[in-house]
Amino acid sequence: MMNKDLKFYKATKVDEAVKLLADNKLKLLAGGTDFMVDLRNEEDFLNGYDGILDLSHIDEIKKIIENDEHVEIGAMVTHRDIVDSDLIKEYYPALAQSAGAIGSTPIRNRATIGGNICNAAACADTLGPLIAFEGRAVLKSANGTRTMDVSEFVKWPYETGINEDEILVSFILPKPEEGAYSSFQKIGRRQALAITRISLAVKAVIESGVIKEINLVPGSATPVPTTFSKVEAEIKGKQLSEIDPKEIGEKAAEEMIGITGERWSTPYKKPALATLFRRAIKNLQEEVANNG
Amino acid sequence: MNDLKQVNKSKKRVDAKAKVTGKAKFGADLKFANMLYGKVVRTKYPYAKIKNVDISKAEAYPGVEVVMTAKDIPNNTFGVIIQNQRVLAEDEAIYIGDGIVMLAAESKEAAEEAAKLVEIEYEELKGIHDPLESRKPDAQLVMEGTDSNQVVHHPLRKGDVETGFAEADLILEREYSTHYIEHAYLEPEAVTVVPNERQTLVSVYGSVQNPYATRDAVARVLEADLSQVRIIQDNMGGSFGGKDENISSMAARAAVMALETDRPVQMVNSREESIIESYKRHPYNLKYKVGATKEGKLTAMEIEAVADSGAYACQTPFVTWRSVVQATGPYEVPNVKTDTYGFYTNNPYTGAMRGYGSPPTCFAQESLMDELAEELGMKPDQLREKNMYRQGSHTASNQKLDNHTVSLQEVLDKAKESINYDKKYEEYSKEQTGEKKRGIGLAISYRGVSLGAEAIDTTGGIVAVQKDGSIILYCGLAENGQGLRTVFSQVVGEELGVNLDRITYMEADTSVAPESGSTVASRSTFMGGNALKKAAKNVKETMIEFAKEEYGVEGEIIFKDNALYTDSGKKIEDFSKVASDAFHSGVFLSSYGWYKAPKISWDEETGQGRPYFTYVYGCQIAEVEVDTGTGQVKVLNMAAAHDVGKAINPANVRGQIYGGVVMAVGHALMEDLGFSDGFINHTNFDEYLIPTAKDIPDIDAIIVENPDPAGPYGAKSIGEPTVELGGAAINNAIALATGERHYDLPLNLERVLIGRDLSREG
Repeated sequence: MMNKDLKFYKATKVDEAVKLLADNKLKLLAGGTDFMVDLRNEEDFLNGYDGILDLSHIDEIKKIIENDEHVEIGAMVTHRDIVDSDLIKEYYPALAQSAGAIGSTPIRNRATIGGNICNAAACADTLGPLIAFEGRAVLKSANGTRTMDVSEFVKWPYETGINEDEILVSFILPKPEEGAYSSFQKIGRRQALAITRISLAVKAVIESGVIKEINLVPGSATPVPTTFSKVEAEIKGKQLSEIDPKEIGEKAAEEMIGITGERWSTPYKKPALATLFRRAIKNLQEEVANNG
Repeated sequence: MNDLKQVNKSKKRVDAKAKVTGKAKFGADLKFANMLYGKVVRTKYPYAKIKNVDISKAEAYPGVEVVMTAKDIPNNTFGVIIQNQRVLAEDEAIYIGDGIVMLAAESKEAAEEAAKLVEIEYEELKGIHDPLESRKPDAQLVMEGTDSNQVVHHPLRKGDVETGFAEADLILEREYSTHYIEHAYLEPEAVTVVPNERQTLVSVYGSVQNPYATRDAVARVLEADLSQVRIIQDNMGGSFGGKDENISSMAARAAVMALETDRPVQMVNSREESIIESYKRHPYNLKYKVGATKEGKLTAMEIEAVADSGAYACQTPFVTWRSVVQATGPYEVPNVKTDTYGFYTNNPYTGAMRGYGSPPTCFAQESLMDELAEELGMKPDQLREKNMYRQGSHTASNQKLDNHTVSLQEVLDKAKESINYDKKYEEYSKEQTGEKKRGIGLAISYRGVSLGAEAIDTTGGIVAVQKDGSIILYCGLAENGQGLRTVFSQVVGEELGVNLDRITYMEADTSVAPESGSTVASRSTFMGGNALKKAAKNVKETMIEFAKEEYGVEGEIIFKDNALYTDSGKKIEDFSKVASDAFHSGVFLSSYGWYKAPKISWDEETGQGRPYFTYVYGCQIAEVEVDTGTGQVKVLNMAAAHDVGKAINPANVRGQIYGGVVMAVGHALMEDLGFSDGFINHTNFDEYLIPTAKDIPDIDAIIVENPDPAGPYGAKSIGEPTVELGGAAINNAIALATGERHYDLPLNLERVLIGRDLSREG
């Protein structure tokens, strides 16, 4: 049963929130779509906390802001906001696709991108694109502000690099370069409300048909989504049209097994991940050819 | 019959408004003064000796009124067929849902906290979790007091299969398996028992599918007279066969605690409790051997079907019996040998679930027919046309089908036409270049209406015309969401010429309505419709007699538009005026209608006879797209043609078809309990996946009408035939798309991509 002595705090400003956090041990509440489930399912979910801090009234972190070189996405931006944002769709289509693939309409209306990353499930759909776009997480506490790469932020499933007195306030994404492409694919057991079985976020920069930059980040393939650096190294600098998508798919599957070892799900994930990589490369080749 | 006013019309559901506005009360909405909240402590292990139970801490918890174990229950066993289900486990737990301790407290929270304080000492034992193991002669026994794990064996023998196989040019032998299916009703089980209320020992309110079965169980457990146990059904948030024995058990527990405390006791399951304790659809292992000539004529079929009964007998004897009758499908086979078994295991117990024994056999047998057609180089529909039942055909039980229209050709043709089968079949049979491949597959079935030789098949109803002309209907059959209130109101409204807003169908109340059998077997429209039609006719005759005398009219009197008319069309009086005049003249305006189903017969040794008095026919065709790189299957379109005899309410019939198809999609592609060694790992809908709106194909629901001579206005059944065809149709469509046949359900990502299932547990 929930401890009835817990206090419920509601902040309307980040400054107010970090001050509360400095003085109390508080569990952060964003959209609540994971929080409420965990609260029901986990006996010790709030053990050791003085209370709950509701972030959903802090308007300053509900915005998507475009600067000269970056786009800053507030942590309390919902998946629905991302799906609907023309800016995100234009600059970071893979992020918009991943946000649209999460849960159902009611979930997307409530669930926030900050919550998705702080919950840090291996299957968190927006995590792959944020890593692929080389996003940085902005963390604030009463003592100041620090940033870290999203790829460094998640340490292990359900474990992040956030300190107990910090709030994740936003993500900063560099604006896409000339010749940037991105895509997101997801396999679930049904068409909606499906936990990702395996996914792939891709961001590439193509210059004169050559792969100048490539980030390949599968979801649910490894304990924490990570760039597949071996495959990336294999194709970076090469002529895109000369790459064999099938071979890349197979190498990606090997790279996954290199990280996870053979698990119960490997006989499925191996060919499925190979398919996603193969298709990502093939689609990229087609898209570049069409634009070329 | 030509100018029907109420029947055969898509009338708005009479209970729709109350439900969509939230006014309708469901089981968990009820509140009684001084009410306690009950809770059950269940076993930690699927099979374990219960060495010690310490309830002292739970008893001492503030707010706890009573804590009880099996020892405190007057009679601990019940069951619809075999009385071996236990209200609470005593010496050993034999499946993961077995309750061991029950308690009631002043609040839900107190009950939950106290439940955590119950200390049970177990000795975990190795159970049997596979019916194929359980059937072995030296297997350990699941059920005390038995000499084998066999619950039932239904043999069927027709002709001589050896001779039949000798005549065959081609013989196929295949094995199939199907898995557990959870009913997944929206509303988890809820019961409130009020002691010493309204002249009875206990009143039981709740989400009860079969009030009389629950009354039998509660009365048996309390060792009380049936007249002292009153079951009143609340609105139901779905049932699908699933709120029978588990509700009986819950009601019995609450009743014992209510009498002990002399206070009302409410019990409501969480979703997890519901999935862990409630019974499921039987998993089946099926072995099929079929012989055919090279022209495609079936010569023999040999079938062995083994159903997992789980820890209790529950309805296994009847479920497997329906499997026997449908095992060969709707085909003329001169030589048949069928053996259907149920065996106890230490698994979740299995019982009635929409389809009742037919979805597993239909899946196997219609998948087999498709493969046989392929082997013979025939189109799937042509092989079926060559062998399927027609007017006057004899079934595997040697029943001659001649008392109703055998409409397989019609349902097949209409479904094919709707989905453009021939063209798509030809197109999808060609080499497909992309990674997403399409396929189309069909399945046909025949299905016996109502209980058949399972049990006595009777239903009663009361039509009570009030002095203002409004009408109250009582019947023992229950509105489970299927639309029975509306259908019954339409039947009575048609007979008495009264609009539906003047008719109220009361909730099932065992102390008021006549015992009518269970609301199962897609029998309600047929049985209850006939009973209430009879009752309405009786009242009508009384009113005609009164009107002739009172108003001095001669000749035929016509009841329509809330009034009585002469045969020349002259209005005599409003229906309400006639009712009022009759009442004040001392005329009795209520009547019972009692309907007994036509005669049937069954020989237990040979499976020969007339198992059902009539049948319905259906055809479903699925069009799918398979992603051969990921294993994802999308059902694009489904054509579903069903002969219902006569649709009392066409919109409701279509609703049944849509719902049945969706359940079949779930069964075929995704539903999975995450079952391993007696444990259920998927205990809520985040993991036990059912189709979402996005997974539902475009469905063309085609109503075929060949009125049955015995049905009310010719009506037969629709609830269950809709759910038995989809599995095979989808499987056959996937086979055409990918060129690979599958024999096991569900056809999840892993099966479709790599040909086998994977599980976390290895």
